[in-house]
Amino acid sequence: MSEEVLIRVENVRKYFSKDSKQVKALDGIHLEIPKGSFVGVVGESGCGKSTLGRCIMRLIDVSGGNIYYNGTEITKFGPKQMREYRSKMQMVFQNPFSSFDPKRTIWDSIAEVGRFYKMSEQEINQRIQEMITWINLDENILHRHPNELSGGQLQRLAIARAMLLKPEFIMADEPVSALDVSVQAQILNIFMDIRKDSNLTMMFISHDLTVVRHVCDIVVVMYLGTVVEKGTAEEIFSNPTHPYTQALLSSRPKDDPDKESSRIMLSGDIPNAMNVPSGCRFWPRCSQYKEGLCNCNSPEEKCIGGTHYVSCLRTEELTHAKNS
Amino acid sequence: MSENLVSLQHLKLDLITSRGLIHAVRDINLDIRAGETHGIVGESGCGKTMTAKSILRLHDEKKTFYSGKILYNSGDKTEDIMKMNRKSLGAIRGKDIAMIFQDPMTTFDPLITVGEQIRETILTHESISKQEATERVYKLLDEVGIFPPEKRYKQYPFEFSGGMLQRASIAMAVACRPKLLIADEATTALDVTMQAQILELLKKLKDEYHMSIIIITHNFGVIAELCDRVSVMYAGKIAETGDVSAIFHQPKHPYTKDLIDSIPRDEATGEKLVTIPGFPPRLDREIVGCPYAPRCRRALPECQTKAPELTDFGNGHMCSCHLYDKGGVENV
Amino acid sequence: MKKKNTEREGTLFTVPVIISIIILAVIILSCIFAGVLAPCDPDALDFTAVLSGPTKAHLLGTDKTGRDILSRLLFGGRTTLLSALGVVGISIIIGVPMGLFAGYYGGWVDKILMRITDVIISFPSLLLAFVFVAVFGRGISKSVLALGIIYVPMLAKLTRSLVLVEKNKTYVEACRSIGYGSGRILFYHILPNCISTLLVQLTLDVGSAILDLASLSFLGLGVQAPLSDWGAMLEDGRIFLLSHPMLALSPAFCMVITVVALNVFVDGVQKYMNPQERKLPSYKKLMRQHRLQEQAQNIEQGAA
Repeated sequence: MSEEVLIRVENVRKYFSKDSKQVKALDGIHLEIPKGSFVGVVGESGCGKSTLGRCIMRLIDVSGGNIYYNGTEITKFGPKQMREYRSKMQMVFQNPFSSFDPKRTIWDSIAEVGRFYKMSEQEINQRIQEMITWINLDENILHRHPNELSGGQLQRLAIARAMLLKPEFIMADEPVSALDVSVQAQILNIFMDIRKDSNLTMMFISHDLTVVRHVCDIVVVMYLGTVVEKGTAEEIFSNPTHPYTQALLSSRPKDDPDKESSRIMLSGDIPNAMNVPSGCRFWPRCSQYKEGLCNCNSPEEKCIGGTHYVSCLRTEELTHAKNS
Repeated sequence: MSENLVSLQHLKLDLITSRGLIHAVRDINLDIRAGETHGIVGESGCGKTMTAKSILRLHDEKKTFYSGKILYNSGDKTEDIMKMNRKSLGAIRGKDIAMIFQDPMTTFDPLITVGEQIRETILTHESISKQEATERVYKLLDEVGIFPPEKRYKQYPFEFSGGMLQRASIAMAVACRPKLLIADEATTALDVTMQAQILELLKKLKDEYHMSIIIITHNFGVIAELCDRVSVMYAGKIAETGDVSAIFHQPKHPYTKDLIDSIPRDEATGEKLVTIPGFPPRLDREIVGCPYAPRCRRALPECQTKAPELTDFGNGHMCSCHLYDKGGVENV
Repeated sequence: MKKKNTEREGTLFTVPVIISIIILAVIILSCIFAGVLAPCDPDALDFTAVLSGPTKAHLLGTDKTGRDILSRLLFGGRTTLLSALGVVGISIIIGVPMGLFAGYYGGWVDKILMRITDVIISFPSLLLAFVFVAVFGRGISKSVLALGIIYVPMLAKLTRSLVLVEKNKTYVEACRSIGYGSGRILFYHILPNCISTLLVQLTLDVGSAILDLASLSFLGLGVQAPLSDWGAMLEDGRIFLLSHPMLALSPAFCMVITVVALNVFVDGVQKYMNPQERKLPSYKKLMRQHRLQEQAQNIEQGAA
């Protein structure tokens, strides 16, 4: 993992208008993805992580802010300009069953990518051969249609398709959420291999903290369109500081039936992005809510050590109380 | 030693589909005791949902053929659910045995208010006045954490979030104080904080109502949170059954071991996960021998040809695997 | 009637479907080979055998100028079927791209294209055909063109709704993320996935076109003498309906049976495509198959 930043997200906002109301899907996101790192973006439904992923991949336009890929600002690029970048940025999706054109064989779908980017047939064949050994599948599978294959096989093939052009960056949007546990393990192992053997950069979107911890170096926690905490996986998991991060971590079902569970229960529902609470967005459900402070002021990002950033109005106060 | 509330005996279910005949459930035996929370865990296609649905005979009877028995002990007598007439079946559905499903959105009729639908469940089974039933619904909504009950009663399903609606479906299920609640992947579609709330709710209701719960899931975390006993299913058969602690800490069946090992864990971050090679077997053919044999690291020659017998390790811990053929002791 | 089995259980070729395929095949082939099959020249006048009933020389009789009805049916059928295909062809060429662009791009493109289709739809179809013919003149080619345009809105709207569904699927998003342009996505990926539903609608449209063309010809606006099709024959035979019913009933029968066969065929295809409605084989039959399989497996095991 180098110090150079591959993708920088600066104050990105994405607003949708739905039935004359404004949905603030993303409201001021600051993020840096260093080259060669695996960044996990976690959060629950409605937090905007998928929207963020699509903004970075330029599948949707941002309403404000900048996104820099290798120093170049890409938010204003049209389709033609983006094409140059698309060969370097590829995506893996949540639903493996619908990731491929149902009418085409897998081979056609994957080879098409190569042909589109002017690879020769020979190169394409060679590259596909390399990849199927690497994802541990039989070549015959490639000549089948998507509806004949299982979720695990399809997701591995989707990863192979994404890797065909030897990209610099892969965006993985909940790549294992739709898979069985044992199949999930296979896919995670593939990601771990990628991390070890190449200097590929990845953004891994997930709602599952344990999975993210397994695969990622850097973790970003999102809530309702903002980043509430970010840092290395080590920093976040050993010292979760934001009340939401703490609640998220403790909400996980235990992995040992004999262990006691000490849960921070969040009350109420996840609010939707149409009715964003005033001040800090998390205050209605926060166990550390302080009247007069949290509902009136917006928190700013503060560094609490190393690369660990938290957006909470009471961080200093609470850390003080914890240490004293 | 509690009596068995529900007992599945040699249950087999065959499903006619466009791809031919599928042996979805192949001879399972399962006992649910009164007051126990029993988890059925397995991956997709193992037959757990079909098993759950068949307890209430919710499967499509024109396309499903069964053999075996599902015995329900209602206290006074024990009947075979599969042989009950429509009337008796209707009497126990929703009243003695209730079910909650994965997608709360499709559990409710979108055109009728949520409160109405819960009340309808009560009025179907108990002859009380509408007013009394409405009061009961308010109490239920309160119990499951839907506030304020009076306002929410009049709202339609689309006005509820996923988590809230799942609570409402739990309210509907426990409205008549069932003896058994079947939860089919009830938290799979929910976010982790919502899931935590639902799990806590189920724990609370379990104690209050003294009901048995069957939890169908593929998530071992949910099992660890809620269950007393667990059955692991694979390819339509039960591979292993036992106390939750025994299953987690001393799994006997290779599939159970492999499955538990393939779950990412905080302590083992960075290490590669154990994976299970190959694929689950096709269910449209007869399976000779042990269904897990083709993928099992510890397969013995007889695993391919002979179906394993059930080995009892005592304390309700049972497993069907040839490794334990010599009775309770693991073969090296 | 033997039931053929496809590789899936539950077959496309149920009895109604087989019968309709046979009927359609007979009709289509007869019209193609009209030149060989027709006993007489359809335009040959024979004033010695005017309005004869069925005779040995004229199996279905003759019309008021002595022309053989059977031959006229065969050649007329050719005209009818070709024109119907022409109508559908025109609606495809114009309507499908309209639907594709409206569905995929949305926004102004969608609004403008849909307003155009709305204009066409708002006129009663035959009335629009009249206007067209009044402006551009009579004749079979003009009525085919008119009807083709009239059929565009339905096809465009159907295509558009299919595109809207496909557009939201993951593989389309994947194509965009890979960098494919809209043209490639629309024609190479989305369209093939819509074709099966479109074909069903188009087959039904052929049936409707036959009837609509017949109406136009019946009113004298379509086919012009000496060319003839079933509609024109119907008109010719109308006066003699009570005295010599064969003149009108034979083209009517042909039209009805063609359209019904088309509809039954389409219905069967739709049922087959919808797994729920598909006719499934009986449990006994499947269990028998399985026992046979089991035995075969046991023999293998025994041999091994």
